[in-house]
Amino acid sequence: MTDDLFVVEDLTVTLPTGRGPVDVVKNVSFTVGRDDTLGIVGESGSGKSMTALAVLGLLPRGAQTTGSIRLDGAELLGQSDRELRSVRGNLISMVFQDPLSSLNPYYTVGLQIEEMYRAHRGGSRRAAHRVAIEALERVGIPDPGRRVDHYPHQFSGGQRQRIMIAMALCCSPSLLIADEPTTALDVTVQAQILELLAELQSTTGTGMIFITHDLAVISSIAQRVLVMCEGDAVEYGTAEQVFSDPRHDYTRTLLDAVPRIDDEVPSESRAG
Amino acid sequence: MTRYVLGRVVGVVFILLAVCLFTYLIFFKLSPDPAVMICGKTCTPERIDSIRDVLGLNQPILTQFWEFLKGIFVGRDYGSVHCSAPCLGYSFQTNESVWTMITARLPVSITVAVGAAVLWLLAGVIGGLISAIKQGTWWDRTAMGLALGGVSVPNYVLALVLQFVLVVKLQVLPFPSAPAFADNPMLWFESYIMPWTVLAVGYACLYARLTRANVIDTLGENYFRTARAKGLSRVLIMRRHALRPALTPITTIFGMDFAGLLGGALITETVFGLNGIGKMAADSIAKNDQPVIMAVTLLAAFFVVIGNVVVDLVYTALDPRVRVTST
Amino acid sequence: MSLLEVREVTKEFVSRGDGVMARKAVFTAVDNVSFEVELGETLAIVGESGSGKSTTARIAARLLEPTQGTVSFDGEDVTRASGKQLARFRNNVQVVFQDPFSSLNPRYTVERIITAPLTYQGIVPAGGRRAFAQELMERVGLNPDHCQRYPAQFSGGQAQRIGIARALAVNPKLVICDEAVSALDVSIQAQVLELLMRLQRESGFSYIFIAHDLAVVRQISQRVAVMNKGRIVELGSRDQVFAEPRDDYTKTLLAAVPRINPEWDRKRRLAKEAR
Repeated sequence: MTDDLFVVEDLTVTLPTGRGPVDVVKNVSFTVGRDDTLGIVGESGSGKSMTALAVLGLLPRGAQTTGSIRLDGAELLGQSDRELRSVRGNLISMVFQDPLSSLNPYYTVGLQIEEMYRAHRGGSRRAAHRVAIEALERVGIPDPGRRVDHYPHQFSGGQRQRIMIAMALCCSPSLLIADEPTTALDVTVQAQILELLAELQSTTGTGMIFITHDLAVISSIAQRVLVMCEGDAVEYGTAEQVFSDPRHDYTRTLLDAVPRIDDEVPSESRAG
Repeated sequence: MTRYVLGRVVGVVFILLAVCLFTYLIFFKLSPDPAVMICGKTCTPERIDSIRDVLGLNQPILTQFWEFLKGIFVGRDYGSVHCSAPCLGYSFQTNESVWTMITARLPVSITVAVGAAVLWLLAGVIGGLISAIKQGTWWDRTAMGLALGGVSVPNYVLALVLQFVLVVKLQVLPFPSAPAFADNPMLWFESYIMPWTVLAVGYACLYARLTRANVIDTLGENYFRTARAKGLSRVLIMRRHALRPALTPITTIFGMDFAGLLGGALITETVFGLNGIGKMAADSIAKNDQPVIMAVTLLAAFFVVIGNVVVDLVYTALDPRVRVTST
Repeated sequence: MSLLEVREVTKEFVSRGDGVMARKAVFTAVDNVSFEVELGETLAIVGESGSGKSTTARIAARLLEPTQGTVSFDGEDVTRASGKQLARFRNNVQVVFQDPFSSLNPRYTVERIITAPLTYQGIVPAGGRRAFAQELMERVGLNPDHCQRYPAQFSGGQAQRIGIARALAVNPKLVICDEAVSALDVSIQAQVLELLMRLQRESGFSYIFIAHDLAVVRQISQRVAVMNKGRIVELGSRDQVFAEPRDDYTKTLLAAVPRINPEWDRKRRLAKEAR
């Protein structure tokens, strides 16, 4: 697997808690190929978000991480904050769950995109401004030339998430980590965002890690799937294999529990 | 937006009128007969009566109040003496025009307020910021402990101690005399440095704790995490995504504190013997000098109310979410 | 005669702008909505954010008064009910809310939470409050020994069961579930849905089930109302709405719901049955 873009091996994350140190991620391993999508599925407390934060070194103070995290062969674990800064946003970008609180309400969206671009690519404010307008256009924000000077609260929820995605991709990273990006959105908006992500991924060739609790979403967008339960990686394989032939009991229970919208309503849960 | 401002202005006028009336009624009820006070020691009943006449004290209370209000805008006649607008009367003690007294002393109070404000903002905000970044470390705990102590010390105690140590014992500073800056810059600085410090200490401690709490909040915000995930430099993240959001509530509190201070730092000015509005207020209360007390109260109320409105307007400039404009 | 009848209900919210002479803005959250619920059935109301479904639920529960229209229960007009009439209504119509940790008083024990509605209705349970609470806890799948614990000591799914128990304490004829399973993990969600359906089978009361998740709604409802921008755009039996939606918005909504690859799913189910 030498051509794998991103490799995580035996990742363990320990957090200090009131009850002593707790392993929130236990020996998790997975890989992401170039322009592939890995879906990480789990319920609350599964450690899926912690895994993502560990990759970018964004864990809370006092967290201990062991294992190996390699991007294009270069080891990321153990790097200093300064070294990681050139990775964040530049090689690996992240999109978070709640776009309203994830954008700074005091600055225009244009500025927030520009500051990221200039941090990694330098250049004048005017050039960065143009980049910001192009980024908004690419994600389908209408009238980008005017709206680049608007504040986050002046956009709808779906638009804000598009802005987050535009911002994350403006420096053309090799890997995009999306942590529950559509969970807070309406289902029709979610469909649009998923479509946007798929389109952007194919045009830019970016690898993606998509974290969610929604198995149905994973089913439609991921090539490989990692199922996490309370810090453990309980299932890992291609999407087809995980969905049609799950090996772990937890995966099976999870798949049984997901309410279906098509074909037969399972007899155990048929309403009167 | 204009509608909003107009509405606030109308509100301000109403409040000032109410404060005015309230203060007027209190002093009317409580103070001894002004005519007797003005008359002084060698007094005859006829003289008292003629003074009462000139001052209009025989008229009903509300008429008196109305005359007082009118005087502020168009001037007033006390017998043969014309007091031009804004007329706040004449001091019972010195017969000076109150307005002149105010204009003479206001610069001192403003100097005290501005100097202290600069000091406390710098010390408080920077101290609070560092504490927040180093939350939980010994630096943080020591700083916040000191801040708690600083806020608890009564400022007249601090003023007296400072004056005793620096002026009397160590003799590094002279007794404050508040010259104009242009006349003698060195003396000016030496005079004001102590009152500035005394005032700043209390506020700086408060603002340090406030800044620390606000910055700790913003450090936990989602947008702060996003800023880190974007790979921005540490300085930029702190400035834009931690400090700037935290400062908005502090700015509004500062506006109110500063406005209150403009009305005169009564205790500090008295202890240091500075001839500002605060000292004038203290003296006039002690001697029951009604026109001066009225004027000082009105002035302080004016600053506070205006400060309130300014602060609200500034807030809309600072926080994009609160703006009343349309897209 | 239907159990609950909502007829031509409209709810407008008026916001008074800033300043002395500001224009009022009127926001119509619910626009001319009508529906009925029969005894023993589950009506689901689905919609996205801003559709007005929560406001409608609150009006049906008489937590809000409609601007126009009527709400009738068992033939009696309760639109502007207050005092004794409203108390009787509350005895018959209860609500389960979305977040148990904010809708249950964190300073009350489970026993107190569950028996509180009885107190408000002036009912004294035969055999004492504790026995009553414990029996109800067992019925919803909670350990009766935990009746002296506080909500914070339970998991999300368990806390939601407390909320359900509380709703059932006065033996209502109609339970309104306002996004009752939306905040739960998938596996817990399935268990709570199962519980809700079992309770309905045992006691025969009705549900109004508010949700944004169509797949969940499909499990539990007999009839479905789809709301968009304050109006009901589709109302019919569950099978009809899901298989043959008439309104364009419903069709868009159904198309947008992500699905597990049906081929894979079928393979898995076949393998499971074979085992």
